[in-house]
Amino acid sequence: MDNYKTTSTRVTMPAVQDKRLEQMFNQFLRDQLAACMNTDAENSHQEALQHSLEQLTELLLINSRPDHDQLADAFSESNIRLLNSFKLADLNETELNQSFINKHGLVISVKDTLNTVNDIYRVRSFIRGIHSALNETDSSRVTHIVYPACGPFAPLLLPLIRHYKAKGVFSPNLKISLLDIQPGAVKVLNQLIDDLDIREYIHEVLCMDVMDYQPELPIDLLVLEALQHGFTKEGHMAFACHLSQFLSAEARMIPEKLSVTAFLNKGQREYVDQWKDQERAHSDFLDSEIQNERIMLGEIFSLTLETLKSIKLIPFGENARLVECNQITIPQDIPDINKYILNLAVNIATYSTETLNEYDSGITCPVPDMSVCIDFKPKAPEPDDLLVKSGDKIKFYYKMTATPGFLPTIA
Amino acid sequence: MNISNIIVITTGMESINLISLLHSKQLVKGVVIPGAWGHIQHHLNEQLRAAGIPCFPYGKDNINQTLQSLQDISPDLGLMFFCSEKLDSDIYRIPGQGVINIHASPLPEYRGAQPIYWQIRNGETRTALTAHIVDSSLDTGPVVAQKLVEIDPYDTHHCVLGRMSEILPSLIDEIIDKAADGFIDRRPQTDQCSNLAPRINQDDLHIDWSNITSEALCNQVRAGSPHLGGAHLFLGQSVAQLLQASASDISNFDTPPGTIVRVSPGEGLIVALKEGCIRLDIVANSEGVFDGYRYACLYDFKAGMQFHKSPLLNQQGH
Ligand SMILES: C[S@@+](CC[C@H](N)C(=O)[O-])C[C@H]1O[C@@H](n2cnc3c(N)ncnc32)[C@H](O)[C@@H]1O
Repeated sequence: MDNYKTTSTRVTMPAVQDKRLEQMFNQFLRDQLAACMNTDAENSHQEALQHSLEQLTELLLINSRPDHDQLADAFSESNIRLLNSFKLADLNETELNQSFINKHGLVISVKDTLNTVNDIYRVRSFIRGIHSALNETDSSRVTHIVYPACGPFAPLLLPLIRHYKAKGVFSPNLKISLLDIQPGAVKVLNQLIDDLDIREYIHEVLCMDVMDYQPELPIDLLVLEALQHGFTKEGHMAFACHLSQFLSAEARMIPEKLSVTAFLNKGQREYVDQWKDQERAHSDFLDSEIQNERIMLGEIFSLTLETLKSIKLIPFGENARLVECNQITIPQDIPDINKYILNLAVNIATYSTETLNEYDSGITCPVPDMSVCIDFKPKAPEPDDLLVKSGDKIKFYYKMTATPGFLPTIA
Repeated sequence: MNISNIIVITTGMESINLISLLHSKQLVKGVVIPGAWGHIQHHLNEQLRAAGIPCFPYGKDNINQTLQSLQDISPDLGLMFFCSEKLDSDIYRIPGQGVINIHASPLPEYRGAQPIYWQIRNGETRTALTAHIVDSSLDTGPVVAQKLVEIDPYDTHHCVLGRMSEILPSLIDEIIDKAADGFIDRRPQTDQCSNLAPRINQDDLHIDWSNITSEALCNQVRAGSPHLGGAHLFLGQSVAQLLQASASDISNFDTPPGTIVRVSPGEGLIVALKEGCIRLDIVANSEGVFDGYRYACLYDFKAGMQFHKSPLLNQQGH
């Protein structure tokens, strides 16, 4: 049959993930870790797992940022151990491979969540953020932590909890609720909690849709990270809106602030030239010349506890809702503006001084919105194209639909 | 009059059984294979010659010679079936009772080269095999005999073709009987024809995700199965043939048509349409034939990805 080998016009994203980590992960999947798991081996697995996560967390909590290779080694070591727990959970094919879209967004397969833990700087920023937030809480009182859509490893929290266990702190006043809709993720979580020997910190592990969750205890700390780059695809926003009603008076949310800004740049410059000599993407390696070529259009949306309280939801179709966001203006007098594409970038303040900047993580890589065509008509129009001219004002809405993301409209 | 000299006009191997049948009754005096010969026509020629049936090419270079040979045979009747070539009218005048074409539709509906494809694609539930006298334009001559054929909901193109082939011998018997009377009960066709059956091009095999209903897509796939590879799937650089699809009652949650809504061993590969969803049951490419789930696993397709209508080649954006 015909084979259409063509070049896609899609912009290829620079890789955030460390190459060695990726190779290691692939190696794991290939070998399926032939290790036989008798009781002795299981005990030694638990010890090795606990030890590796303690070491990792200690490294993450050091104030000066460790060398990247050192971090990568620690992550790689932890990842091997985590994958052992995953193996022990013995998922069936459905638990491992099913992926689906529901009313609020994408639910990726457990297999595809296995390496989210390798997103080094995201994990670092969240662990540090949660640690500072917990250090500010009154340790004599119970703190209910809810981590919805946490995936099979709940990687933004569980390494820290293992660290607390080793230090003998925070028990019995932390009560952690972990939720995931994938039965396979919940199976792995339970295995992991036992392997880490941290059951005493766990209030509940629930296999359910976050949108159906009605907690028994008010939420004191909400750890929420269910988005893909450009704040798209997954139900982060819907989850935040639903859970906000259960927050205690002093509740904190991690990340404290999630800010989305719009900018114009040439796709080739932003996504190709900027990274061609780099092994991986990170805000450390931004090219100042290319950054200066950006035309910044401003913040279109931010999510904090404050904005969450005042959010205006507009009904949209039968099941969905829209959130009104800000408006930006496409500048005039830029001669080759038709060569520029609109991009959305997410910047995250996890907590206090902890941040996650553009390109530090898969979730903070800017994303081009190819549907917005500035001063040109696409050769192959798509149904959702938005043709705009320089000088036009673009008003954004956030769609809380099964395919969440921003919807630009002409104001 | 007694019909004993028949010539057959055909281009397809499918006609071989029928020719043998006529030959066993010692009715065939020759087979005309019109047009430029490809390997099928050469093969047909060899088979017929081996059985002692004379074959005549009817292309640019040998028209006159063939017409002369046919005149020498002085046939009573011409029978045209499985013939993809349009001939000029000289040949039709040679047999005493004319040439009868057998067309796979209830004429005047679905005139054209691909009647079975378009009838299945349009969701028809019954059709007919129609024998008509060949006149100067395509599929328009008076009808001399007709046999009804059911189209079942799961029928593919070749299921219907097979069913038609089964009843073809009895239709031919009827034609021969009627030829003896000079086709007195011939029935002219009306000009009322609401559907045509044109040749199929590549675009006809693409899936118009943004508009198609699940029923229409299932029909499109059946119509093209197996000979055209059903309907064609495009995702990223990957191209595949969709050989069977079924309606699914999983909600599409208003996701854009073409979006993969679910991948799982139990439920398979489910894709959003404008209304509802479709399950991609059987998919084939140069590497094998797969159920939807396995196809998705092999090519790393997961929920959220979107099939497009045509190959990426035609989809230049910026
Ligand atoms: C990207 S993954 C894991 C995210 C996690 N924070 C991490 O860093 O690994 C997102 C998870 O959200 C879960 N999920 C998606 N939608 C959900 C929903 N509506 N209710 C519960 N879990 C959901 C998926 O099953 C998946 O395990």
